[in-house]
Amino acid sequence: MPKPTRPVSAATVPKPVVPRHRLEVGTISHDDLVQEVNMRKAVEDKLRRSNDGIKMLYKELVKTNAQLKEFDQRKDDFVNNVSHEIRTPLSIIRESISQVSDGLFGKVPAKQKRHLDKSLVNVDRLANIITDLLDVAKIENMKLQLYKAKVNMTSLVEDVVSNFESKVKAKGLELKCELPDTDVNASIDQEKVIQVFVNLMSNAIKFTQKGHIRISIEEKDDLVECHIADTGRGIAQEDLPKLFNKFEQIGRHHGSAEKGTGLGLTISKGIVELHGGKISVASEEGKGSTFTFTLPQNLLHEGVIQNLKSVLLSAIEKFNQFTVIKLNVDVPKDQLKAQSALVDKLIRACLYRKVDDVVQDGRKIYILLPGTKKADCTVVIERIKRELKQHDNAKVHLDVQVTSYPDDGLTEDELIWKLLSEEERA
Amino acid sequence: MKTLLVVDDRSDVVEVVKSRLQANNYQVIVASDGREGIKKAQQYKPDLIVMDILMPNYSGGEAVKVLKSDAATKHIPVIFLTAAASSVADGEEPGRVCVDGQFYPALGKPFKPEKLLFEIKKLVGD
Repeated sequence: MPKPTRPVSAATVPKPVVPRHRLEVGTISHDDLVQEVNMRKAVEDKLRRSNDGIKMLYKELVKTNAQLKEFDQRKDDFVNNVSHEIRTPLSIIRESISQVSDGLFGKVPAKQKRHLDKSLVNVDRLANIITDLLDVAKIENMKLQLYKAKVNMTSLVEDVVSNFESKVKAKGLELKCELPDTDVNASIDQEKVIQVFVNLMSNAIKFTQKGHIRISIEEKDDLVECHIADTGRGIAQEDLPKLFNKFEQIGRHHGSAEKGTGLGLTISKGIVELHGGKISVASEEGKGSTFTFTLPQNLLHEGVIQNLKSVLLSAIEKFNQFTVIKLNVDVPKDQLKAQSALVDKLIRACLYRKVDDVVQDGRKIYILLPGTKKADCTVVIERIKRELKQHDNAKVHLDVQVTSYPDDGLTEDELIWKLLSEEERA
Repeated sequence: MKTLLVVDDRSDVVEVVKSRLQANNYQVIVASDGREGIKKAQQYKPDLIVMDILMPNYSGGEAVKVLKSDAATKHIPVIFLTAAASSVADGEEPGRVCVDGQFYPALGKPFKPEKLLFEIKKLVGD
């Protein structure tokens, strides 16, 4: 997270006031004192004015931002509509050709059928390109929404591999799968990660004529590392840097039977990076390639910060003033799940107004109180403390932190920075 | 002979789907939007409905909601056939579209006829 800047930049802060006459100790004249006080007042005034100016500017920026968001939405709608409008006629073309080729309207000579079938293959290819282009557009606009859940990577890989078994066998290749005996959990979007495995597996099979494909995963610190290795033709050193670029079909001139869209690796890279992971390749021409990608095991915290950020941003847009209370709930780890649901319920019961909002992250709970000054939130805190004590005084220990807009920060980043502890900032 | 209802606002889509289904010995009735789809389904009680999603006068999803809340039509299986890319990925399995917490098989356009026929057969037999 970027370190938030102070609302007043160095350029607008007047130089510290130095009295014109250096005063002897114990001999401050009345005039000098008055002068100094006046100057300080003037400085304070200036600061307040520039601060007000910045606040106004910020509101203006928020407004512009909302407008830009709307344009962005219209652009997304356009991309989706284009895809829809292309797919419908494609389906008519495909089905018409397919029916003629299938002899629905009379026997078709073999030579004509070959041409029709060639058309079919290319209609399908076009449809795949549209799907992939849409994915790339979403990734590049940071619009690809991840639906993360706790997923057992071991069984995910087993599933993917079993789908490829017949294809690998048909090509006379060996399929090696090295998985840990235990569950390896990660917080991922299952469908998207499957897409990455499928892309990399398809490539491995496509470019390997003999030998084996090896797929393995291992836990490393808080990462899951996935490898897809083949004994195929490999990639030339000079081609490696271009590999993840759009439409970069390395070795296309070798005349591969199955043509891809040239977007598979771009999409895979995008998906892995959206998860906060990295993808890389090691390869030697004639010996084979190994693609490696990592996925963080637990991104719960990051997801909550994102959520908190959007809650704060919309609060800044809507309210002139609000206070965020952060509660650190001390619960033994094994009771966290059961307790956090209860704590969440109790806290919500303490909030009487509809506008109040709660964001929970395991032991940390953020409460948003619109229109409330810092000094006025103690009532709510006391109420929550009382409520929790009544229900469960043994297990829950509270540690409270309070941050207010606009006093403590003017942007959502700044407010979050104030709310996070040292270790969380790291 | 099984009767299938094909609902799509594009008449040329209806035409190609119809001729494919007829060639595979299904009797086919058609409708050109969600509202007509509901009416025909109630009138003819088809064995299955092939339903587009984005249509004027009741989308496919809305039409299915109505049909599922009607005792006379709620047993009729539905397969979605849609060009809305976000709903269906062209994987090996049919995609799924969720209406009111209920999942229905869905094929993306352009569709592969053998997949459509396979899904229909799974639900109604030959």
